[in-house]
Amino acid sequence: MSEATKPVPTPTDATAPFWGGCAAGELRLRRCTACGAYRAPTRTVCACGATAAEWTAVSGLGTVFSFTVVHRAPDPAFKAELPYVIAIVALEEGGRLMSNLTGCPPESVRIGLPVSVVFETVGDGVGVPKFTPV
Amino acid sequence: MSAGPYGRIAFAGVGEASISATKVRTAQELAVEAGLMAMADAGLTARDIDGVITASPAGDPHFMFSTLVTEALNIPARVNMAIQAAGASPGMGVLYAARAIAAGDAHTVLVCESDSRGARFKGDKIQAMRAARPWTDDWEDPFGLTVPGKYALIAQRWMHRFGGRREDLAAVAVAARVHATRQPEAPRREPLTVDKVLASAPIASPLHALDCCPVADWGGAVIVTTVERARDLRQPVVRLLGAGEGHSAYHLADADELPPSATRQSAQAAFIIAGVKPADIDTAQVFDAFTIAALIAMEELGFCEPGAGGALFASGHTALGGSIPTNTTGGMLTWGNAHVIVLPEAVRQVRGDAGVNQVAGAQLALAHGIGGPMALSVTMILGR
Repeated sequence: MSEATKPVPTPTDATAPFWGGCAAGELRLRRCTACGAYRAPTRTVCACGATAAEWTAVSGLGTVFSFTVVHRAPDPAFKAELPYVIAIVALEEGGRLMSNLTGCPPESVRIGLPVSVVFETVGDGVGVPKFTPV
Repeated sequence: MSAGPYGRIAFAGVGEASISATKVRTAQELAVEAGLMAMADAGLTARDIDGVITASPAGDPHFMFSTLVTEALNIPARVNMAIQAAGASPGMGVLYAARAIAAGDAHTVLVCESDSRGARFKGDKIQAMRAARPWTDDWEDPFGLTVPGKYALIAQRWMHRFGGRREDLAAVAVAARVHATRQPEAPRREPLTVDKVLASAPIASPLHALDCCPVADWGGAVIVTTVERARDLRQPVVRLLGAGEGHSAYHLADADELPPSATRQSAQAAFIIAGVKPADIDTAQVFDAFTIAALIAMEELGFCEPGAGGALFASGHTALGGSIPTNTTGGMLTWGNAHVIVLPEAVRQVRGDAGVNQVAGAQLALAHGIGGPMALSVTMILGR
């Protein structure tokens, strides 16, 4: 049996700009063409009700909105990294992302910590965003 | 006093399939067992029921699960559906049963929730449940998020916002255990202290093992009918005085705030419809798969101020004889992740039939459910 591998995003036509952006070193969010708000990638429709949007590169800067240090992994592929930090990051431009914090000891993480995006390529044209303290 | 479809709705029977470490039953069989017990409790047969609403189990998941249960029970259903609202499914089932009855589509609906997670998920429960999960989530799975991890993210932010401590969470587990010690058959009943909770194995900070419910098999059922019909049946009439639902985002990253507002929304609707306030409630049965869930539920339901949930549990207010006896069975933290546990107990409390768990003179009971990491919620207020 091959070594366990972590789950990898499977881009669709709708989400490829996000995952492809991460592979290209660019964090992109949908920006509403009606009201200008950035929205989370899970939101097809803006809070203003409009659907039209442009994928727009954002700064990749944000702060930790909440976090947890995981000691029990959901699948064996994560076991080698235990304990690891999951964080919800509030992006400077708006919207939040679920992600990991890397490059810092788990005990140093706190809510409000300023962070910046780093990218991990996980497949052909597919990257995932992670964050590290600024 | 009551408004909407709920004013003429009553609970006519309750049933709970026994928890057993040795029996092997499918989720369907657990629903059938609990359903038959609820019918016997009400003095009805399957042929007297004309609607079935089930949840969707994670152990033994099945296409058209409610139709399987309806078939096994030989119920001549005019209404039949499986709800997929995770821990809020039993409450959602009651709401949709009430709506179907109010619309004249059915007169007596069996609402049940069952699951075989104990039998099906062996070894590391977190990994076993993930391996069996029939979907993937690109926005969470690549980062190693777990179900306890989701509640942990809520707990961490609650602690940040209100200056809460792990001791506040531990107080919920200790309070549940006090209820459990009254019950010889409870799977978790050895005395518990805050220190023991703090010293249990870390799962996802700030949650440790004793902040989390065990994984179990369960089956629970209630029979929902009209007040008029319930009057002719075996048990004292327990009315649904008010109910409400609330909704937040599926993904926690997209929630309005942490904790999400779903419970608050559901409670506001239920209290307005019932025409009562939190101080009027005699006993609360709330979702407690994790300590933080019950703590926040009590705040959002209005039993204390935001941030004061830990103190509410630590000070004895939630014990029998306290101001708001809560999860009088010991809850999910004792019995396992049987979301439906809140409903039969709320009904029994109002009947005055809760045995060693009875809250003296209970007139009004609140039952609460949460689906997902507080993604949606149902609150029900029951009375005579």
